[in-house]
Amino acid sequence: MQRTGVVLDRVGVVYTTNDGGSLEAVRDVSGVVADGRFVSLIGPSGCGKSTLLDVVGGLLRPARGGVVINGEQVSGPRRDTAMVFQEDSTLHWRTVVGNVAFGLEIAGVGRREREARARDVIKLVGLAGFEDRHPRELSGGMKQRVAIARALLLDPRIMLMDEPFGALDQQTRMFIGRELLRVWEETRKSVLFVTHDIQEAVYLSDEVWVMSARPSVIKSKIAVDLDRPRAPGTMGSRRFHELTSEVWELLRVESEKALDASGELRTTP
Amino acid sequence: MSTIETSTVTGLDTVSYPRAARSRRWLLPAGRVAVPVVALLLWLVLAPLTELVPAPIPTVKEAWDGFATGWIYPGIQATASAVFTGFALGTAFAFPAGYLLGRSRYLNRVFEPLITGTFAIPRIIVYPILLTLFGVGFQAETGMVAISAFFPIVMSTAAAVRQASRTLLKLGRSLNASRAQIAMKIVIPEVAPGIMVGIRIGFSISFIAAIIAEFFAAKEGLGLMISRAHAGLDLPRMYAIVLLVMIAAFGGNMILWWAERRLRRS
Repeated sequence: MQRTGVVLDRVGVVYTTNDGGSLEAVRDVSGVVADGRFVSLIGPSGCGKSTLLDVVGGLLRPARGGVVINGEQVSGPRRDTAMVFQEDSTLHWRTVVGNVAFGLEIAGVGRREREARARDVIKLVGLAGFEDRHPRELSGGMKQRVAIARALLLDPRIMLMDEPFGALDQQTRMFIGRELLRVWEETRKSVLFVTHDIQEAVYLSDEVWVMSARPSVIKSKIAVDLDRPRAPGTMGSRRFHELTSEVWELLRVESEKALDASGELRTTP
Repeated sequence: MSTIETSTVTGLDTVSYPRAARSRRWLLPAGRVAVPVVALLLWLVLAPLTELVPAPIPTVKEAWDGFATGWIYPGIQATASAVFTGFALGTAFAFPAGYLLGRSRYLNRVFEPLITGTFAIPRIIVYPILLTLFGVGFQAETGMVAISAFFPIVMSTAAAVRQASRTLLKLGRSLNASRAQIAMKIVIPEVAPGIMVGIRIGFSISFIAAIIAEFFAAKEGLGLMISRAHAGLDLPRMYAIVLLVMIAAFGGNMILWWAERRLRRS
């Protein structure tokens, strides 16, 4: 058994539907997120990417297989995983410091210590000067930085990010993606990053795992051999375009399958 | 070179626009003050037309005497202690019950029809039962208040808690927060304004229940004083107590409303 990193071993997830039937969401997913690697999961809508993240985070018990983190099998939420969600997850009645320190507060760390550490991480994510503001005074992108800071402060082995920039506009999204990479270069946390933006996946990651339509399997794992640190110019490079085209070719077939199943592509009634 | 010929004659100068709302900022406070002032003026003008309505001045004088000579204090004391004790007791049961109903799908499905159905029963019909159990007095009246406050607080607390954000609950689970931490640090602060609505309505209903119970059977209290004044045709006294109860209920509710609005802003 692999002793380091995060290992997904033949994970299968089956949901029970409301009418008592069962729905296979994820089938036989295996892979390793080695320590310090940035891995993106990309796939058609509703393919179970977020489901897989919940399994790694210990929020959902898989029907088959399992996840091993640092040699221990995941059986529930752990201190060494931290999640960032797509939706706003800031606590509106708390300041930025109170929000960032929230995870440590739940873990029982004393006020002085957790707030001092929170202030350091707030600087790291570029929110210096906003420590005592409330979420209603922040933009959507800043709220997501608060969520990232809260996850970082837990000093996890792996960050589980569920489309964290999915609700942001395109320009904010590209900017905050660069910011995430800057922070990641400093901390070198492992990241498992769910997205359905191909350019985002390639730009950020060391590996892109392309998932199929339901029941989801990993169709292909693409190693992204672009130099780090990535620069704004990376996106204009020939290699970047080759990689995004490769991902798109794999995805196109799956997206058509998924859309066809949902009736989206049928033109005649 | 080409030019574009346009005519800009539209006759718009004949249209007049209403003045901007900004210049009428005094309208809102003025309206709020005008309502009670007009009511008072109507009372002043209409009271002399019938012997069955006392004029405002003797009414206010009687209320003043109530405090000066002290005849009102035992009534205030009896009603206030029944309202506050009953309200506290009702809330102590209703708040945790409402929280659990809001959090648990199963409990909600078991109890929701029961509570919604019971809500339609006029609460005052349990008062004779309380009177036979406890006898006329503080205990029966407090029990009546507690039962009356219970239902609106359970229902609005459950409704508010049910609105808690799925994402924040998931955050709590991912941080391995205990049930108590999820309640105290996530759900209750998040839905505090909605919970306050229930507390405010529960308080109003407590006041109503105490006065009605006192009309029916009590040893002391403002409701009893009103019905005695009514029976003795002591109209200024009856009006004086009615006026005081109205002011007290209005004031209490305004304080809770203000607290609710503060919570909503934070």
